[in-house]
Amino acid sequence: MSLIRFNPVRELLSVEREFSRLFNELENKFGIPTKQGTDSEMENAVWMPVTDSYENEKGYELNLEIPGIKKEDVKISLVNGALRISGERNQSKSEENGKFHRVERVYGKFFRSFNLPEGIKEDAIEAEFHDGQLTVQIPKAEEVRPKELQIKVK
Amino acid sequence: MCNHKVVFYTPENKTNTKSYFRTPGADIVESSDSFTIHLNLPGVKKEDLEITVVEQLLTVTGKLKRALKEGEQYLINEIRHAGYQRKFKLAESIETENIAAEFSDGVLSIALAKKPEIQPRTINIK
Repeated sequence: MSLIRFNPVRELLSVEREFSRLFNELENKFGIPTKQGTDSEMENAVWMPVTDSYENEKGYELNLEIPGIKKEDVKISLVNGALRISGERNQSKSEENGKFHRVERVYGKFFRSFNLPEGIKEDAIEAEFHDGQLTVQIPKAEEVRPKELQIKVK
Repeated sequence: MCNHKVVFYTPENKTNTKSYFRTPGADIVESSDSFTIHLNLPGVKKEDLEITVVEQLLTVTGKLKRALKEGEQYLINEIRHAGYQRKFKLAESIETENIAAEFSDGVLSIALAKKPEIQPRTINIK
């Protein structure tokens, strides 16, 4: 048995889903093909991790709170300039049959995506996971100085 | 069954009305011989965790160290950096002498053993 907590974001997402279904149907009637590949990661997410983000001269840092998740269950990807972080928290098997007096922690899939600004080193993004906190370092690209060309006049 | 049903409640923090700590979410699971409290304490280092038991009052305090560095600014700030605190009033039926705690991946698990009187026991027939 898995318990799913009420999540207002989920409710909003379902409204959004319903609207896009309506619009897709309309578009179909006018002969416009529907977009392929729905965002299943986002649609199936139940909760969203709390985040801090810092900026300094060298780059950006993201701190996400995802306690109770193993390192290998966190998925980070960069798609079209958006950093997507997803994963799942499961109840431990040994306690499934226990008697729960309180369940305040959220279980299930999570998802959060961040649109990254321009001028970053995409290849040099690094992520670390310690004590339930995921830290993503996004370095800024060194500014490309405009080249000055001296043209000799003959 | 017995009075240990109302084991856990979080007493109100009357002295500190501002309550600047965050209250971490907790799961409480009961097995036949113990209770386990799971607390979400992301970002806390093991050495910054403090667990005390005073007169059946279990207090868990975790501090967060990350602060804004020189030349840094927030783009998103959703995390409150004061740290975490949560208190649990333990019933008399809980053994306070041997409390075991484990901290991994930002989750603190505190195992509280029940006193032998309230544990189920099998009676041998002669």
